[in-house]
Amino acid sequence: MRTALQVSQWFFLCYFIVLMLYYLILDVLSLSGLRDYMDRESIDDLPAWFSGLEPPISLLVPAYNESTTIAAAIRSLLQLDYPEYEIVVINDGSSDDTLEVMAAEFDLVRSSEAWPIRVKTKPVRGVYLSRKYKNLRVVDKENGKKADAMNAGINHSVFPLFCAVDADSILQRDSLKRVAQPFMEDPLCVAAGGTVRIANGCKIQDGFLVRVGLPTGILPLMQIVEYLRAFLFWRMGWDPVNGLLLISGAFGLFKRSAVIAVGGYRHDTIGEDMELIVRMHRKLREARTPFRIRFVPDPICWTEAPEDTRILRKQRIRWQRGLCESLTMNWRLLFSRRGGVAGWLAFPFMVLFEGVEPAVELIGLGFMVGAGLTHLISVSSMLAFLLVAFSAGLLQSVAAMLLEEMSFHLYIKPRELAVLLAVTLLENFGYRQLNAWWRLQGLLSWAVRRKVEW
Amino acid sequence: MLTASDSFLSLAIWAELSIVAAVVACCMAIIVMRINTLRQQRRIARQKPYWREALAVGIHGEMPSLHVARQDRWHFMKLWCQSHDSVRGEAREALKNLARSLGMQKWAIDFASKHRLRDRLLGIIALGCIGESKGIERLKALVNEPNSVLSLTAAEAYARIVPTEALPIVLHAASRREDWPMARLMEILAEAGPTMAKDPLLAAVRTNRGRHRQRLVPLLACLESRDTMTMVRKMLSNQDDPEILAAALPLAHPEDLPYVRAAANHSAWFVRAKACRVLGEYGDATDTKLLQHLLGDREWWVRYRAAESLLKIPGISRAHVRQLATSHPDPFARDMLKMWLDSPGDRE
Repeated sequence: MRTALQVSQWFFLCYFIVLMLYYLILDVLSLSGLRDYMDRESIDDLPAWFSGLEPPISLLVPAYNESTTIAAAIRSLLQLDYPEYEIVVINDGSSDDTLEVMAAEFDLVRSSEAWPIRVKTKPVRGVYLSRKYKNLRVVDKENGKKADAMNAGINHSVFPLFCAVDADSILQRDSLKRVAQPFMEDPLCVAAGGTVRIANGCKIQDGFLVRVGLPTGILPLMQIVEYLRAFLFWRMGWDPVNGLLLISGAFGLFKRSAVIAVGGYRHDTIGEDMELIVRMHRKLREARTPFRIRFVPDPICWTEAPEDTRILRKQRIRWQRGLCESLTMNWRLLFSRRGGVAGWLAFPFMVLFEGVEPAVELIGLGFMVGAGLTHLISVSSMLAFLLVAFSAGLLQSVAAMLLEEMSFHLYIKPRELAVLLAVTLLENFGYRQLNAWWRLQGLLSWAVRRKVEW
Repeated sequence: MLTASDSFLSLAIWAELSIVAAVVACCMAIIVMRINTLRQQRRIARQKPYWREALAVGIHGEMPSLHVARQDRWHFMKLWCQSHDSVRGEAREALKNLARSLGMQKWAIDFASKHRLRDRLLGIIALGCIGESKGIERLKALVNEPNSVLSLTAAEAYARIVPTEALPIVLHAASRREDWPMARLMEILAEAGPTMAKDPLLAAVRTNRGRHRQRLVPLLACLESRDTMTMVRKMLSNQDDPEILAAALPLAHPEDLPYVRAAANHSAWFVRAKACRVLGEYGDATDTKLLQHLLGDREWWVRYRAAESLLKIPGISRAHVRQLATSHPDPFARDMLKMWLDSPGDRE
């Protein structure tokens, strides 16, 4: 009993210390990557290097029961500042009048179909062309969920690059230019993702963000810090070593041929965006195809964050389950001979510090507090452990804030900076543990293969 | 009760102390950075109107009295580069003289040798703009840097200063460096001009083989077509190397149509698809039969391009294509033609 308790205390303490070291390494990588990026960015307004030479892009917008928002979303996409692009909206068997709204708004006419089936999908009911905008096309198909809709979009797109965009994503006029930059700089680039930021509290006009601001609600505020951590810290850290395992489904640019080569999006996971990237790493490495998956730290996509715990809980459960599914579906990447950084570092770290982390965190906290209160371990040990656990989380958030300050410092008012620093501290008391609890539920739902609510 | 061992407690305390120290350091850094950023922004905002005025005077050939503090050199140099690229001819020369009178060529060399990427890039660009020959050796070395942006920027600056010397070196590197995007190489050659680019490019295409040659072929589009005609025709007549043939097809001239027609029956689908496109550009009514045949190709892209080209062929009315869309024996061909006929405008 005594030995088991001692082993447990050591295990939990060491886990948190290793976790902290891992964050430290990521932080150093992010710092250097972000510094390089900002250095290049600082001369971006010199004579445009690639102006007029941008590759054409197909924007794929899956839509399911979006009748109230779809017209405004398409109108804002039609105003993007990019030389050549087409918009392919995929109506994924909506049960409302999404298709009729689009037909009326954009004067759609049914077209003949002669599209190749590169990736299998549910049957397509019809393809419509807009008489108002020659770069707008609507694919109407039977419901098959987002992954299936994206695959249908891939089949019906013409250009060599496609951009996955959520219908509710708020883009900036130059979002496409920024996310296409890695493809122009590096011919080996097969996918690039941008930073997604929280739009709550910002001023949105005609579908575009015009002023950055902080929300008033505590939940969206906490999520701002979380997003900074996830994008600037975590993804930026893996970018310089080509170990990025996730590009957000809300906004990502892909080389169409590379996605088709790995089989397109998978239908049987709710984390289809992450699964695709992990599979690209696995399959392209297996095939010895040189490639790069890039991350653009610029804030180019904004999204409304959930403001109530019910929706937030569902989202986090879904994300955690998606993560577990993506990893297990591609477990062969783990320590594979040609796995490289993704297989030997990013994947195991993802399993240890993202996959099982909520379980270790909550069990660790519960164990140490329980053992401390029942005097199975000394109070000083319990306190020491709790302090390490809390401050490890705090360090992550503060480091993300530092990266934001080094780079974009979007929240320009000193008051906003003070609020964010306060939130950084506060989120460690309650919010973080609640989040871990939800993620643990996601982990369990994956383990028992329970159906997840959307 | 179990007490924690000394080592457990001391490890926890050390870890805690290190984390707290790191957190405090990060917070301090955030605050200091914010203050510095605001200060620097204010200083530059104060300086910029004077610099702009001085540059405006300099463009007219006069030498304004101007002193740029050491910490502002980077920002001034960037503004100078922007001004340099927004003017042409005499104004550009006047700006170069102004830069030399300020000793900017020395700043640029210093910046190009620094560690920070931002400094190196701006230093390299400025060297290219000023046309400073003292920096050539540095640029030549930088062309072989593994960093794509840095090496390509150096190649661009090098070619700007001494194109005759730089282009053979840049093209040799370009044929081997897959990380250099074609668009940027085209820009380098376009800036040098077709007369200057002709000899080194033709020589590079001639001497390279296989994949290296294939990378250079599309660059021939930067030259005058009369200079590339013989070489392109030779590549078009050789059907044994599909990659080179596909790269050469977009460079074909109307006189090369016999080769293009032959390429339309090539075994590689990407060659057939490219040939279809060229037939759409230069083909005539006699090519409709070939395109109709290609409408039934097993590869979707070939059918797509064949339908697109069919609608472009002079003398072929939409009504004729519409009729073809109902009478073609191949259902895939019919669908493809219908799709193109339904399009509100030309689609790429």
